[in-house]
Amino acid sequence: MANTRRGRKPPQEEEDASKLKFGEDFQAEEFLFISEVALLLAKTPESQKNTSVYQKTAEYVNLFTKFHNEESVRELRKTLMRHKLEKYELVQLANLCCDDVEEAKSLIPSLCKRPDEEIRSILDDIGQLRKFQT
Amino acid sequence: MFFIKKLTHTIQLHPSYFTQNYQNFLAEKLYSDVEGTCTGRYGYIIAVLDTMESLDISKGKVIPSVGLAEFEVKYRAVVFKPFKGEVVDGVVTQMGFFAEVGPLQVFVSSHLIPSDLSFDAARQAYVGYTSDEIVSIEKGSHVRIKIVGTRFDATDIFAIGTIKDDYCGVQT
Repeated sequence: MANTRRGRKPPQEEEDASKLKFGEDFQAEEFLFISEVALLLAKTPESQKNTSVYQKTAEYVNLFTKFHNEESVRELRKTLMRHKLEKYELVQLANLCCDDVEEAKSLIPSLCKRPDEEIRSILDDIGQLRKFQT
Repeated sequence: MFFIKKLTHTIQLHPSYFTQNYQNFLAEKLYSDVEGTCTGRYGYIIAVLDTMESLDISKGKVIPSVGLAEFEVKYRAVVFKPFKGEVVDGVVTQMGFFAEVGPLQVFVSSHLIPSDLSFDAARQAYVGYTSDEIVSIEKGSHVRIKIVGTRFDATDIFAIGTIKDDYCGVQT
């Protein structure tokens, strides 16, 4: 089939979170914390709540949300923004709430290029916010 | 990973709805058409964030010889799409084992479970003994999983995960 070659699209870049590749559909979009999803879903009107996808998600985010009110979520985003993290790293750090630097680097491999002290201070910030949320 | 994604949806409206508040019908139709659906490209669409007032609805175009009007609606929605290499928390639902991460099912095969955990048929759980405690993965356990692969079909997404990596596995 001679015409297949001409019509072929360039090979698509493979999506891989550990290399911060999310495909062109999502690279530019806003990444959300689980806690933010929980807050957003709490605001949706009753009439939109009856799909099974919605219910499963609501159950899931309420189970795994780490920050329970809008102020602490906003504060968290503001704090993490200061560290000039990639969007994905920022969200994963907030979702997974790692205890030590090695854990963070293992779960979010792209953090490995940053110095340990910096990661340490980010984790401390998250821990502080989590402890003192109202 | 959860995202806010801008999407468009095309809706055809029957002439009987050409009334003053046709926007209402369009909003209703949009919610029922897209919410709860899943596509390989955009993942699960969980909830549309726009209300009727904030939706960006194009001018309607009547389709020749049919009479239906076509509208293009731009909206923002919360979507969930898993990516390879992503680490997620999930709840075990079935032995084998499967875990649920929101709307997504993640399968963790026995090859991707550390070899110090073994399946105990009597307890229906993966059990492992470390020096001073017993670790078990059973229905309802919270596990941290790294996604190693995803497969998309027209209406659903499946993911394969591993708990062999460092810091993955049961969460307390």
